[in-house]
Amino acid sequence: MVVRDAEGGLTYAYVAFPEAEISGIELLRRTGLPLVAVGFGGLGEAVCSLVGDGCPLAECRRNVCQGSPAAPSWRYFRQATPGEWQPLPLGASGARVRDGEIDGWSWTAGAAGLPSLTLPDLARLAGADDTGAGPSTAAAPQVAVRGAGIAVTTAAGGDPVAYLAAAAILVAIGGGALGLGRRSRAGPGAGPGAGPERRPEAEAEA
Amino acid sequence: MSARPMDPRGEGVAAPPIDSRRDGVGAQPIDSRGEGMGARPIDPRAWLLWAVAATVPPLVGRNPFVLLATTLAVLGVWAAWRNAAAEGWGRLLRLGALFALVGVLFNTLTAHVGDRPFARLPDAWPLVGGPLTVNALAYGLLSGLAVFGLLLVGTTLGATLDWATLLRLLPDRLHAVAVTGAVAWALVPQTLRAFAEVREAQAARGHRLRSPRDAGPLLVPLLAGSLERSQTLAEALEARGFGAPLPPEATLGRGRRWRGPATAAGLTLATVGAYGLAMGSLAIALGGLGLGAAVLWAAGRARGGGPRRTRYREPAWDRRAWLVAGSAGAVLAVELAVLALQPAAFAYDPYPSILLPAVSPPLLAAVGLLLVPAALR
Repeated sequence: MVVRDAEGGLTYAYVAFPEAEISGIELLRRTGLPLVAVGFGGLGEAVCSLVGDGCPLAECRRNVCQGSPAAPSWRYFRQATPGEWQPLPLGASGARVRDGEIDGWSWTAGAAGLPSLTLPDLARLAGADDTGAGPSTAAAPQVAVRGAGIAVTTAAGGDPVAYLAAAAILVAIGGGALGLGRRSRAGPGAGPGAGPERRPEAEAEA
Repeated sequence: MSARPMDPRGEGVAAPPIDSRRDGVGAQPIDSRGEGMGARPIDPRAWLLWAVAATVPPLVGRNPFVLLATTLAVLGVWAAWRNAAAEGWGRLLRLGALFALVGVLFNTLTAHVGDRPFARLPDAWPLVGGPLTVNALAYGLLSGLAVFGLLLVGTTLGATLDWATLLRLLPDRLHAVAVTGAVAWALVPQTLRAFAEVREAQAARGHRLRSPRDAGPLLVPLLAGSLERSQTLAEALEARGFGAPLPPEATLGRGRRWRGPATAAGLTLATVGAYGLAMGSLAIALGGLGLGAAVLWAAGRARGGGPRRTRYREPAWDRRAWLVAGSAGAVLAVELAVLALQPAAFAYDPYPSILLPAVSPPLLAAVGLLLVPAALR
């Protein structure tokens, strides 16, 4: 499998599986790349975010990241012959992947923009030769991944001082809210009718 | 069981046709001088600006720091300004909290996304089948907090806003729209309060809600009461000339024909702008709100020869209104600047991995200024 992200960076994945065939979405999952997919019942799953590119889940549920027809989204392709990438309109849940096939995912609004590949090329680019990926078993599936998408798996945390400052501000706001709320209950402003207990009905009943 | 107000002789006194205080439409529980029962009101324009500033964070993002800061600040204002008129809104708030919890459950059960599964339902189960993840739970909680925060802003506004003054402040052309909006705004708390009263009355008669079939004795009086109140309200509005046709000289003539369509167009543009803000599209939001305000201003300026509304006493824009409007304006300015320069400070997405959210101390400090109205109670 090859993935082309929003900046045009390529990630190659070589996945060996023991089954005769698996679904396209299952193949994508087995690569271990950062993936957010949402289910649409019988229509299968749609890819919202892959290798850090995509849209939030809420928007994906609304329009599968397609705010307009010209907007890019994650599109699913399969290489028929080297360099000929054909879109698979049935989607990754409906498509079946068999031994030797090469799938492609591209963040695009139109053309695939994926490179021409052969299986030995893909295995080499994904580092399958280095990891010794070969025939796989159910107990030990073999996966090799290389490329731009690997770096996305972890994001930098941030400045600890900023988090400490944020915590202090939150405590200050919470304390202020509590104190001001209590003061208004007990202060001179809390005259008749100011408190929630002073209901007109209660006065009438009294 | 709650009773209608009794006069000193102990005889029942019918409730006024429109109890503006309890409906949340009209006056606060204060006297006409703004003194006496509780704190003096703050100018409704300042409250509206405060509400806009408090509404931006839950609308544009799910950053837990910003959401928590906003909710805490608004809770502080709600606690400080809560009064007898807020009772109906309090019920709405509890209902909103319940819906937020349902949203958390729904998201956890249906969003099978994320790298931290904690349970799994059988795949054969439609919709809910699959892994349940901490990521989905976290996103559901943040969405629930955002919904609760929005509702809190609305209920605070509903309980504190001096609707009568607000209606007087609006241009003549918007008066009918404002009255309609105020009536619609008061519908939900009014219905909830009526439901509580019916339930109380039926409970005193021994009625217990054990199954859906027992809902009849609650719903039928509620519906009958609602129809009765609607009729009373309609009669009261009719008696005040609401919706009466304007004389011909008010509707004919140069520049007067387009005022109605222009007002409608301005309101539509403003609504589109608000929708753009809710969807996080700053260009649509600024364009729609700016253009809508301009069109409404132009439509309001063109006065006709129709009936002219006058005021006995002009609302006072005092020091407290300046403080609330100034602080809310500062919050809004910081929010818009952060939205344009560092939008990630508002955003957070726990999918596919739960990572530490971005944090912006200046934004949080600015959001803290939303507490200013609480200090002015």
